[in-house]
Amino acid sequence: MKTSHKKYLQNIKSDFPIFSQNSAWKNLVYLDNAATSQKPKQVINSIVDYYSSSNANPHRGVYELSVKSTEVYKSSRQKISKFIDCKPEELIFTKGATDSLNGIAFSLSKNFFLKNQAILITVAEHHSVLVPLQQLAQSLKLKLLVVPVNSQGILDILEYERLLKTNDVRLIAFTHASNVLGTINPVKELVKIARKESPSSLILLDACQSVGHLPVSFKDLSVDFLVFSGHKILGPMGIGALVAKKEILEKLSPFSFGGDMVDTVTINKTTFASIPRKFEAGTPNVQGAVGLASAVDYLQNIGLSNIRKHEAKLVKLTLAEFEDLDFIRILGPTKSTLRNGLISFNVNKVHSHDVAWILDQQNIAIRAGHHCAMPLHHSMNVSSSARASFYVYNDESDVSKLVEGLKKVNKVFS
Amino acid sequence: MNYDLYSQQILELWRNPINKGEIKNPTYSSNSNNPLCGDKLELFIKTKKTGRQTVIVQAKFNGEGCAISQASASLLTTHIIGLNISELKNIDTNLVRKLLGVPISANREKCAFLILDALERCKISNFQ
Ligand SMILES: Cc1ncc(COP(=O)(O)O)c(C=O)c1O
Repeated sequence: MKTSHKKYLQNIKSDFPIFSQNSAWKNLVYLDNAATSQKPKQVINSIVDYYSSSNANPHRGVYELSVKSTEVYKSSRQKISKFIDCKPEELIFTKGATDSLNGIAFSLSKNFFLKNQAILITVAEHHSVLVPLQQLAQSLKLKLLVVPVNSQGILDILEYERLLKTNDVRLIAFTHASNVLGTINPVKELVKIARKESPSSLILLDACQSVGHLPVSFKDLSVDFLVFSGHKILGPMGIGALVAKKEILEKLSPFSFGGDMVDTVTINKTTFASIPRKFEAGTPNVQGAVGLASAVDYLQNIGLSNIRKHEAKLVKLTLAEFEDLDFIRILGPTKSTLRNGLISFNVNKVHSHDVAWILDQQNIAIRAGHHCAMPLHHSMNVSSSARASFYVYNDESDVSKLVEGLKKVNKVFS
Repeated sequence: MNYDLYSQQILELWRNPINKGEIKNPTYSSNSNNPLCGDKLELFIKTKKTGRQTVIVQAKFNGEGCAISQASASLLTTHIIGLNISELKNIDTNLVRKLLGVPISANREKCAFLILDALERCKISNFQ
């Protein structure tokens, strides 16, 4: 499969029903993949299959169908944990990255921080990282320290190091790849500095824009927490993961309580189940896990380094094309090797909503607004931006259509 | 391309907005935000009492935004100048849609109706 990945990527659109001949969206140039991806028929069918052949409440029944559902859930966890390179019990299913982050913030609100300690984040964080940690800091009276990015959208590592040296930091959170700047952070370097300057800190990685786009190994990156969402990587909405080191999960208190997460319960006392079930209260989202496992299969068939190469090629091409358009101002690094598969930009004095609006008239879907990163936009002195983000089914013709579309935007608003 | 047809008015108002600016001593004023894009809109209204009537004599808006939010602000401020404040109760999203004259999708309602939000925030007693 790997040797024929080019051919495989060429015919890939036919796997996606939304782009099929009888779909109303067959000609849509879909460039909002950083928000959510489209789904291949393999993923859609896996969910239909689950409900057609394996549906029952897992864990709770002794009858065969329930056992089947339990097994399907378990094997999905195994597949996804292998993909992310963690132990199966280190992978907690959640509703998505936001849910994972709120869970971490809740659990760490208990017996972890001392007063006046600090949480360190970067200015490029998505609101789903910033807001839960900001609320946590406020309620526990912790300092919230923010590492800036330079004019190229690259993290100020010296300032990161200085803040770690001069504060009592207990939690460090940063994104693997920014959903606005596109910058890929040097995770290993940041982890190395953190372990040296702040050995008692836990490190949380937001991998929403890296997992499924480039090879990501939880073990190799050596962070303490990693979160991502399934819907951004060909999987269904409503499923994602919180990955954390086993020894941390064992000590961490649960963030959600109820059935399935307990060992024994009396009216006055509850003992919790072992990981991962301790963190998965209630009837789980089995169809979500099944769909995500199927998405993982699909991605691995193409190969993550092939996906990385494919996106890098499209970003490089787009950057080169944008260089010839004097009305475009890009955000983030000008070098494609420092980027993931997305580019945010502004068109002269035209508001990003208007850019998206005129592109929509030409059947091109991009994102416009602040992309859930208002502080980052403020720090760059722009109120919003337009964003084009690529995935496996995009190709060079989409880049040309985008460029033509933007010329039209510039003409309409001149 | 249909935008060439239906957005002429919006584009014209984007180039040359009407009633853009501030009023020094407004009778009413407000601030609105569009959480979708971080846009801000300020609205200023000056009224004058003549007998038992209170009439809007001036209305201006300020702020940056997309063409739709700017156009609806131009159009609505133009529309309300000269109205008796008791007539404000007739102003709603349907009117703004009519003034804009283009289809407003669910995702653009926040932009189109930002000016209505600003008007509500002015807390003019006859418009609640
Ligand atoms: C970098 C980043 N972090 C976190 C999130 C939150 O993901 P979700 O909305 O799926 O919970 C997103 C996407 O919205 C993102 O791009």
